[in-house]
Amino acid sequence: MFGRKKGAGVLQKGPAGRRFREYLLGYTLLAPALVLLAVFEFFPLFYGLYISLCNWRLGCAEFVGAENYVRAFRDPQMWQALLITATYSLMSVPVQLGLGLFFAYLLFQKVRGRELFRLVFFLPYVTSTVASAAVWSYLYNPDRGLINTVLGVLGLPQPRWLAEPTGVFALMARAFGVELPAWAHGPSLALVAVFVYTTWVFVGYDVTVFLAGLGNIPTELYDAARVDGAGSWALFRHITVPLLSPTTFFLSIITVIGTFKAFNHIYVMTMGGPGTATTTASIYIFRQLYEFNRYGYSAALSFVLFSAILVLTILQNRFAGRRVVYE
Amino acid sequence: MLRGKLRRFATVLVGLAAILGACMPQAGPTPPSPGQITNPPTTPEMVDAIDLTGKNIEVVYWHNRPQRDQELLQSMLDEFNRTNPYGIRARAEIAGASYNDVYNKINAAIQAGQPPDIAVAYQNQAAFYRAQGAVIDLTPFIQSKKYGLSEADLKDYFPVFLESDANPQFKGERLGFPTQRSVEVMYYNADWLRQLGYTEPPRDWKTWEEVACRASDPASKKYGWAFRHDASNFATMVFTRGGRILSPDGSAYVFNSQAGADALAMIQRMFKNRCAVEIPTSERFGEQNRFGNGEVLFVFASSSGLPFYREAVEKGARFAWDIALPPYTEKPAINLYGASVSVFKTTPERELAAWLVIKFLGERPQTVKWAVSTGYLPVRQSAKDEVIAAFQRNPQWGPVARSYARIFDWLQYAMVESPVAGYDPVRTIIDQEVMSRVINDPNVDVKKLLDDAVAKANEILRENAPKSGR
Amino acid sequence: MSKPLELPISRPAEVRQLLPRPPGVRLAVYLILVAGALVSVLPFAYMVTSSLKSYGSVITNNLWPWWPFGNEPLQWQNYIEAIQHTGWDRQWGTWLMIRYFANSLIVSGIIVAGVLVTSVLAAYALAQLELPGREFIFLFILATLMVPGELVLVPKVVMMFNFGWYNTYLALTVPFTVSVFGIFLLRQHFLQVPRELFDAARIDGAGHLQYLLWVLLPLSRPALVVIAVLNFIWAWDAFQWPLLVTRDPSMRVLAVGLQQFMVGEGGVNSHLLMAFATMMVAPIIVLYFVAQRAFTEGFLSTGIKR
Repeated sequence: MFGRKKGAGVLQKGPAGRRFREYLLGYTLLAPALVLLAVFEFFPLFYGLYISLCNWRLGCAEFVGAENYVRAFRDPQMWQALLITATYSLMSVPVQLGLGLFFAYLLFQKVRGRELFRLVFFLPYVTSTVASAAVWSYLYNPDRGLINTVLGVLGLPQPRWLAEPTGVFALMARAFGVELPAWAHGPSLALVAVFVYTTWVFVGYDVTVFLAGLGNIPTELYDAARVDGAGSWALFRHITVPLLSPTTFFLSIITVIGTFKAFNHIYVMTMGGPGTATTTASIYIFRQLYEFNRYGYSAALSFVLFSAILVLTILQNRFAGRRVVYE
Repeated sequence: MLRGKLRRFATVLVGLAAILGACMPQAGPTPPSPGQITNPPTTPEMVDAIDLTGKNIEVVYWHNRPQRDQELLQSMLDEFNRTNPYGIRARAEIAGASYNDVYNKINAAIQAGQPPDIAVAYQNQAAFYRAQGAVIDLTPFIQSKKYGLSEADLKDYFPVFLESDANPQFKGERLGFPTQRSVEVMYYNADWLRQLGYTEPPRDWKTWEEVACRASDPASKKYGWAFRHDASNFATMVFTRGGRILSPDGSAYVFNSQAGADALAMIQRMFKNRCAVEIPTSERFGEQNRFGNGEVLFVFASSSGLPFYREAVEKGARFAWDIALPPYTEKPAINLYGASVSVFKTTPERELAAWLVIKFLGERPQTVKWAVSTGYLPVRQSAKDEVIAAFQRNPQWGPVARSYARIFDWLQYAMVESPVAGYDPVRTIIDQEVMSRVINDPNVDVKKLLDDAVAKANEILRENAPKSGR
Repeated sequence: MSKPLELPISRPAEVRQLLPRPPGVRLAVYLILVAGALVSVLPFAYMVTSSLKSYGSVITNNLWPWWPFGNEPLQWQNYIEAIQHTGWDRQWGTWLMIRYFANSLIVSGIIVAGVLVTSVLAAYALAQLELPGREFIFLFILATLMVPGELVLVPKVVMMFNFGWYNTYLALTVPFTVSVFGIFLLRQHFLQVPRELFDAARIDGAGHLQYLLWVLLPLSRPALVVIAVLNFIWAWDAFQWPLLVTRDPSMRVLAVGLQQFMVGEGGVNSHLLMAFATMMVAPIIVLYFVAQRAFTEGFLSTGIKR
């Protein structure tokens, strides 16, 4: 992540005044972004922290310190929401990035109509959630949806998709007459159905970013390697993957953060249901805020989620950041 | 090293939070100003004493109707602006498309110290605002000799509408004033009913269940009843069995009574026997569309949907249909709902100006126009005939106008769900933890489900109850 | 420094042929792409076809009511009706829909311009300059991305009231003129540029700003275009914030209009809703189509022997 070795390069030499000027330039360049972020993201965050320390009734009715946080840690529903969120992220990240890279690679070739294809793959991301959720809901409808209709024609069982709270492993085992213990049920079918929908939405976005990354790899490297007799797979493994790693790393961080905050598409599809089968952490926080009016508690929950994401990102950075190749 | 940094960072954060938090403006109770009029005014005499001459107050009204209704509302307000003797200028604004949007906006505005003067709010939302001291009791204004409603006027309002705004949590304070109402009725497919051998819709639940089950044919995707596991549907079933959602003094939730258990058991049976279909959240207006396509025999929905159902049937399978009182065990009952408008605490003068706007909008010509445009019920009894006549003339309503006229006869049976603060999360509990479970699990113990839900609901009730002294 | 910098950069190569030659592979590739494309385009097709149907056909899910399976004409008037349905803007004397469209353009345009400027400057500082506290600043910036939206929504709205920006273009644009995504992505791209280029520029007498403007930016075109397009789309689609910080219909953006329409009357005017949604997505498609070219024309080649 911080690829350059300290002390390398022209800039470290020279009089201290020059270095100071450079620092000044650096901070000046950073200033607009930092000021905007500080005012519009961090300041509200502090205010949110203040709310989380209060029994909040549109004003701090009572300062309760860490009480909301203690409650959050003792709340089984919060843990369940975090579990669902983590499961969802674990499913989504590799699949989204894998498919994204796969299609980006294909669309980078001299394929006829590639510009049209790229546009079409990007369409799910820009189609309004209204339209895309409506269509997928219709596809998944247990009674008259396209998927179940096709399954019915083929004589296969017709699961209830978005309305099915039972875990997928349990369902599969039941087909063979086996009843799994509760902990092995796996993610609910509803969650998996939603995951398919959101993957469909975001793959086009991943493809777009990957394409930009692929565009950065110099032709000479490929030409030189081919001259040396390298086949397509070798090209991919030894040139594309390493040189794409900054983009891949970037996307993996963004995707993990995004899936942990996942709200909009899931909420529009299922509103967190059936029951709490698809209630991610963000949906749970939303509920606490807008339905239960527990401002202070939902603020504390938000901070818990925020910390979880922060820790994950730092870990990701530590482990994966080392393997990113910049030159 | 990192941990040291983090600790320092955290200390700085909390410190900053405390400082900055103190800097943000907060809504709090204002001490009574010297003189006779408190804010808000607590007696009709105080209201009488308010002087509006020369103040030229601007009143802002936030609502959630679409553009067409906004224009009607504004044109009515323009008339008020022209004719009122105090120079009050009122303006209507769309604050969102759903009650949720409006609620969020209001919360933000209250915290910024700039609430609107008037806004739509459900009774339980108004109770929430009141618990924060952000909305006022309208009783002194209603009773004011100079500015209030006369005896005759008050009697003209449908009594059950006015009652629904008296809040039991706050000793009967009127935290809102009705501008519209609707009721939950049973839509039924008359042609299909006739095919099954019935000339009239079922009057009791047992017959209703039989009919619905006879009508159902899952193989051809036809069902007797389409259910969106809505808490209001459940409430209708409880009311019609003689039960209640909330105790009359607002102190506890009581939907785990025998009425509640019977209602839930019926739902459970119907889904077990596949007499009913669940409309998934994602299938918007699913019950309406399926009804219009002739795939569902009965639906419980709001009377304000009449023109929409008419259109769905017309564009769909085109059959004879009508609305009816829901079935009942001993006495009929009907679920009355609809938001009211609340006045926010600002200054006595602005509050009075806001009240005058509301009073104007409740007068007969205005309530007629509003009801005709929105499909809701008018709030005055004297407006009834005019509204029905207007619907009869309207090609969109046509035959449905006859059904609409019958609703007024049913108002005597009206009941209200729960006007207390914190009812929204209770609805979610009923929806997710009771309805969802019972639809999916034919063996779950309904009484236990209800008891658990009521325990949680009562906890929420306590949490949201007003603190003493406010 | 008026002399243009001369750097050994070769002309861009379009796309590379990186897959094995045999014809079977090409066919397989096409099949996969077509399958993927069909899956991708389905809801979009639903939206567009529904926008040309009558209300009845939409709710009965009649997939193809026109010739040759039915006799309904294409309902082009749905579009006109959708425009008229939103009402009249008194301020500009035109349909509100047109005003929404203009507002969206203005707001999204300003946001994209702001994002590009702040991202370029910040990414350069973080990638190229050895600043003390660099790691901390980067983590700070990344941390803002992790903040759950609901937590900061109300405080941010309250701030708009306090600044006096409520119901102005300022509230709609200024908070979004910085993009962590943009800073991060650009930084990754900047870090990939070899040191030698900078040294060569230095030798030619260029300072940091010249290097940035004349060397780095042209090389980063794919990244810049991605950032611009994505931020435009996010600004275009955002509805929750604009809803909360505006009051006049004249200040509304298209996304708010669509959401309000959907929640308010979507069930009874589904055909108009789809027309509205199609109109809203059309500019984005045009934008993406036009911008695509820039993704692949980026390149980096130095010709410098290692």
